Amino acid sequence: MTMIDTAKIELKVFAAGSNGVANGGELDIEGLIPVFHRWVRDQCLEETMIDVADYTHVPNGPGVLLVCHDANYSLDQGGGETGLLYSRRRETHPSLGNIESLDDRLASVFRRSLEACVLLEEEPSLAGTVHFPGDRFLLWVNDRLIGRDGEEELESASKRLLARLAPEAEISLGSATSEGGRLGHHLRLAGSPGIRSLLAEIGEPSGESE
Amino acid sequence: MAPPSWKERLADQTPDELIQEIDVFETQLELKRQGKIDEKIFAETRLRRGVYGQRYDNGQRHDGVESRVLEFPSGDLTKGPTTMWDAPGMQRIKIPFGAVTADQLDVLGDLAEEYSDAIVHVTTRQDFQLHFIHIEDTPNLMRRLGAVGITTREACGNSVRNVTACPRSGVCADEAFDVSPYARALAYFLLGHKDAQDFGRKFKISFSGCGGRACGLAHLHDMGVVAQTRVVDGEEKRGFELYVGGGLGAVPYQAKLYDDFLAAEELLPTAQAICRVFSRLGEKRNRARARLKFLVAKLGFEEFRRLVNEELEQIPEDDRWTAFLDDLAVTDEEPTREPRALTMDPLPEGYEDWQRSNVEAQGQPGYFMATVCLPLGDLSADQTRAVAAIARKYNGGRLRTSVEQNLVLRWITEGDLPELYAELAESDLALPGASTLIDITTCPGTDTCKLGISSSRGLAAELRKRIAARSFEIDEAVEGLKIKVSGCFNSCGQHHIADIGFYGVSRKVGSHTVPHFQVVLGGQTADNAAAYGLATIAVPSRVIPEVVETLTGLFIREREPGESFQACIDRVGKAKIRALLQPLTEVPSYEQDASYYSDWGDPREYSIGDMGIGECAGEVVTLVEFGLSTSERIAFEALEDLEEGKTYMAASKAFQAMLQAAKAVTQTQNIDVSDDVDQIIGEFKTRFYDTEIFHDRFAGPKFANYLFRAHEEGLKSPSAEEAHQRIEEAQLFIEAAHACYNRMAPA
Repeated sequence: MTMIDTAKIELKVFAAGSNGVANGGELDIEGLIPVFHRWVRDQCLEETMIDVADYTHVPNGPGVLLVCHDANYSLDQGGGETGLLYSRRRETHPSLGNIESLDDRLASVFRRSLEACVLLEEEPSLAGTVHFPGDRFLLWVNDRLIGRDGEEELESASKRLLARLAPEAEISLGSATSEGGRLGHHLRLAGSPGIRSLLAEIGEPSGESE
Repeated sequence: MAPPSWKERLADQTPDELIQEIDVFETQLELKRQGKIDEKIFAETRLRRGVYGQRYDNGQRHDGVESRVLEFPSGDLTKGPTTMWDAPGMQRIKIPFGAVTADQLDVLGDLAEEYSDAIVHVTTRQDFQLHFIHIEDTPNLMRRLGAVGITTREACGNSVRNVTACPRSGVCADEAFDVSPYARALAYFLLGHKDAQDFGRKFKISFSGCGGRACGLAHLHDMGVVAQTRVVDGEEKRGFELYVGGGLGAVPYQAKLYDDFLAAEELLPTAQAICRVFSRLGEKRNRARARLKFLVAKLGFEEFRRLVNEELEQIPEDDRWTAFLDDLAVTDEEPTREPRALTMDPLPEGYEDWQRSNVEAQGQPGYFMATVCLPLGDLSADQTRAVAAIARKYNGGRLRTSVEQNLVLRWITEGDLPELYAELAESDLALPGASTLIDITTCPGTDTCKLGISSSRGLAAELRKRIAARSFEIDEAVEGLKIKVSGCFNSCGQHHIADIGFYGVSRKVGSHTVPHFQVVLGGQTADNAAAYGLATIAVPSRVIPEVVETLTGLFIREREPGESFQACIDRVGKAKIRALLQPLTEVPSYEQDASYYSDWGDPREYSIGDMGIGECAGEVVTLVEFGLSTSERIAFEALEDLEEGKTYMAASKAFQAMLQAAKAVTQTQNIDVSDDVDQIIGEFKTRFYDTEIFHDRFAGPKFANYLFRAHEEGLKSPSAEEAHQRIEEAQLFIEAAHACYNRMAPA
């Protein structure tokens, strides 16, 4: 039986450069407010999208948050590093398909996160200022019921997934779990084929959930 | 093997009674899922556990173009009338007298990360709030809070809300004595007390250590308790000035002095007796008149006092009334570090600015309070845990929340201040400007509140940014002014007691709706919130920063030596100020400047559709606009009369203003309505009140009743306070007329 039987998985896909700015541009976090509102209006994600929350006044916080029923999306500034943070809370949307194992769940979390990264990179109003090389990730089990006992299981499942998505890349993992904190891993992919390639390798979800 | 559940894991760390309460609540959730519990009963049940609704919880959201249905997986299942089960909600977390520990903050940070949006919010009543919570997560959230000594019981609903107290209690140089153990005793005495379970509305209590400062805001509470000492037979006795019947909301009341020295041993029984009178005689059906302030006004103060005394004679003796007096040290805090002088040299960059505004000497020599200034009352989950760790290091892990939505660290030695500053700065928690112009208080507004009309947080964030950018140029005279913003007239942002207050309203311009704020002037926080301001003029949201510049500029130019902002505004007069601001009220057409038609921090075209969309359509648009404009003018004249002490004229004009607004909306259905008072009232009643067209979606007939009551009561010799209230009612009636017209007007 799995230790990590929770939908609460969180993935941060780090953006290029120390502050997430690519091509010498300047990242305007507040510029995400109209972007996320438009995503809601145009139903750009396969989610029940609810609202946009502006936390740009909180330094190194979630910045601008797209709140959905199943997950929150933000261009997170936590730890002083910019990245797309996908924080899953529950798994109810039919498009998630059947999730029956931790492997399914991690694949699903990577799929949703990378889809949002691609959308952000292609967002005209951000003028190419955000770029995700797809070589660094921070993966959390956002449920403190799951303690260090789940460390090995998470590590194995992460390795299996990354090896499937990027067989040519060099994979390295490091624990991010703190005492009494959340179970987490830094994931690195030296020689990553890029987020589009990773996304293509994940493939479609298996079946439709109820 | 699957890990144990939170219920199993925390069972031995939580009081049995709380475990049982949460288990019962979890069962009620399941019963509601199965449709086996009444909708309204369940709604009040969850409210009494602090589980509150949030904007869009009716399952609809306006995306700037159209209103869309949110497709939640549980379909039509609800958690209260028109409140969808799956819609995110808010969890309010009571913190009696604002005392919070590092362990509690750690848990709050974790809960924010796991169940909310990774943000912990401090409210204007020293609570914490977590937003975007799913109702099914609330039992475990409560269990985790319960394990560190926090209950969410009676955080919302018709109950005794969080008992607040001055965050300086116990360390203030000016206090009569430390009110913390008294606030604690009263909070837990009334929690779940049988005499506090049958209120028509909420009941708020605050404690203050002195009368002069603003920390406790005694005058705006149902029960404001101010520490006093008195020498009796050569011995110093502790007691309280007790104020009763205050409250903000749509029509604010100043609490009145009930007792100038209530002995400490009389505090709990007197509070209990007041609760019994409120339970027995307070309004239950008409929620708009159900707060204690209305009961006190209806009965008269002396009759209310007689009834409380009658109750006091009948209540069975309770050991708890005085047992706590044997354990007043229960809230005492001892320093964990010996005082040491400032030795660091050079001091960290920015330290001196921070020290000037955020640090205050305690009553205990060698120790200081340091305020952690939180923009909009928010801190991230990481910051929450960081400030907990800092508190552990410097004072043993004890903090207080403040009604200014900040955190206060106490028992810091002078020598530790620069290091404390540096460590706070590492987590971006060392912002200067506590209790100054930049430290703006705001309610959630349209961000998350269902009743929000304008974006109070968006405006506060914008003002904060602009003030920060000009921090080096700001005149000393305006630095200490207080700005407070509410998203609607209900005053959760406490706009009535600000130097410059704002509350959200809307105006129809052509076929569009434009977010506005009423500018409220004349209030004061000093002397425990001793004066309330009045609305002066409605200005588009977009130009509110210019309003602040105009008003602060006026103060710098016009003030006399030593004159307060309130006194200066009073002397200059609202007519001149209104004339100064009048040019800012012009709204360019949508084609000329579309920015006026969206709110701060929200690029969607502004709509009040998320509050509720009306059904009727009217035709006499220009006539209505004209009539409403006339009513606003009359209301303003009433304000001027009040300033000049002409209370009869002021109250009379306030009624005339309501009548004019009623006539204006009535003309949409009967253009021939005359100026005869009885005909206007009759027509308005038949066409707009009986049909409920004028009813506010949330407040119901409240505003229409202001008109009818003013008509029925007539005028004798109104006091200044009565005239003041009549003007407040007139302003709200006019706003309701605007809202009614907005609902009827074609899109």
